[in-house]
Amino acid sequence: MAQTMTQMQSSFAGQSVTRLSVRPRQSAQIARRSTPRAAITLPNPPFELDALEGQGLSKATMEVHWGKHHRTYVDNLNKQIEGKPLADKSLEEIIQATWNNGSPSAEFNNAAQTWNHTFYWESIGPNGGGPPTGAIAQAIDNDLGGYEEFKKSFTQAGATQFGSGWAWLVLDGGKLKVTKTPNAENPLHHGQTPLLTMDVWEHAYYIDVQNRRPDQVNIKSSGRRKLDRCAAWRSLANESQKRLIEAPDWASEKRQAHAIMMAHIPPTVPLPKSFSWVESI
Amino acid sequence: MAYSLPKLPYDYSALEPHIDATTMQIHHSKHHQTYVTNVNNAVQKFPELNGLGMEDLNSAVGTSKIPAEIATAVRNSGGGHYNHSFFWKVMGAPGGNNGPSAELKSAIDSSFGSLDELKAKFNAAAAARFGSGWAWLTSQDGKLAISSTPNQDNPQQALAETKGVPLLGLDVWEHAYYLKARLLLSHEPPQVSQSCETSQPFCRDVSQLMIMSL
Ligand SMILES: [Fe+2]
Ligand SMILES: [Fe+2]
Repeated sequence: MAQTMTQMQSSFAGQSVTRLSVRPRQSAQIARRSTPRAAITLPNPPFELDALEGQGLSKATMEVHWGKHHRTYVDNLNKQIEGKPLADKSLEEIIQATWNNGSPSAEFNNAAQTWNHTFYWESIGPNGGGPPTGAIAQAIDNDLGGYEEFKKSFTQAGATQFGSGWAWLVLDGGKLKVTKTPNAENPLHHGQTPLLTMDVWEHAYYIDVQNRRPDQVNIKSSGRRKLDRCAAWRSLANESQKRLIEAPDWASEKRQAHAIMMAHIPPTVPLPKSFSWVESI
Repeated sequence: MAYSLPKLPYDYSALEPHIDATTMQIHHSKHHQTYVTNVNNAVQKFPELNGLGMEDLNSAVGTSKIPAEIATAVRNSGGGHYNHSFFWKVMGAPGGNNGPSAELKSAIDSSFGSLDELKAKFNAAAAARFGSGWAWLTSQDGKLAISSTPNQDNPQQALAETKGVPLLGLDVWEHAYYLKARLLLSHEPPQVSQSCETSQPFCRDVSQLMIMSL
């Protein structure tokens, strides 16, 4: 089950980079050489759009959420940064620059939402769910009082983020924390490293569960236990778990892998086979 | 005396085809009811707030009249109750009446140039609200203004950037249009998205319903 760095990287981007087999360090050099950077692109989710139907997340939601919401954030960001110095920066640099110490400029919402959604697709998956194992489980025991307590506070964070926003599991100063952010804000510009997220904008769950937001996050009685059933602990598994504990800069490696992935996706990402916007509804 | 969910002044299906009956039913009986329940839960611990009307409660949001312990709950759920109660009242069945009165029409013309200009500005304010919120037409000291607020804030609250008496309020939370938007969009190529852009057909439709009711 050991997951190599290369596989991890692939899973960030979905099908479009599964053949990318360069080591992170080499690709970092390639990324540096290839300026100006290509436009920010829409990565495919690392699973088919109907893959989570059995886990409470419908294909219709995925099609609108990824195919329209996420895509629009990407398209609008590219329009906003075209021809500006921001266009030469990585997505994370754009987020940091446009956050502007809490007085965000116009590009911030689209940049952060582009990042947040990519990260959300990585946070859920058809092979996800169940209690985590290994080092991440140990860290949850140590810092958050165990998996059951973690689920309670993560669900609480998602349910009480009034309006639109996100619930997060983050690494903050070497410790795990559960947090929530409004609208497009994310943990990066608060100096934290995101590990897992849940989208609690109404568009993320309204087709599936309407006003019952806790069902989006986690509720046992509902049968739609997203966190229990979808949390992609395996993307945090094995090798990465060891890094989480042993190497404080594991998180920055994950971020670097992200940046590399972003720099290498061709501008037009093909739609996955299951995408059938008009026919499906 | 607890706040209660007002009856709609029309049937859930009355605003079809602009707002579908399912959306109206969930919006009124679930979302609005939750705000009523939560604001009651918050204020019942403080007898000094007992008997305060919805408008006075909202005017107190952002002042020390609301105890810190329940400030957020009153702002959010008191705001939600006020906003939704207002929203139901300013909409009406299509073709239900003849538009603004002569007096209001002349105020609109002098503030915005024309009713069409007002609509364009109002819809733009709604579309520009990122995340959840409301678009408003308000009157203050005889002047009309268009603004928007985040979440369940409103122009009545002391913390509002643009204060005034609301004349129109448009809910641009995704719950206000998401089921309908999905139906609408199924007939369109995937080009519009994001809360505000998805809501534009809704904004146009609904502001029409509201402006006819002025
Ligand atoms: Fe989303
Ligand atoms: Fe609403």
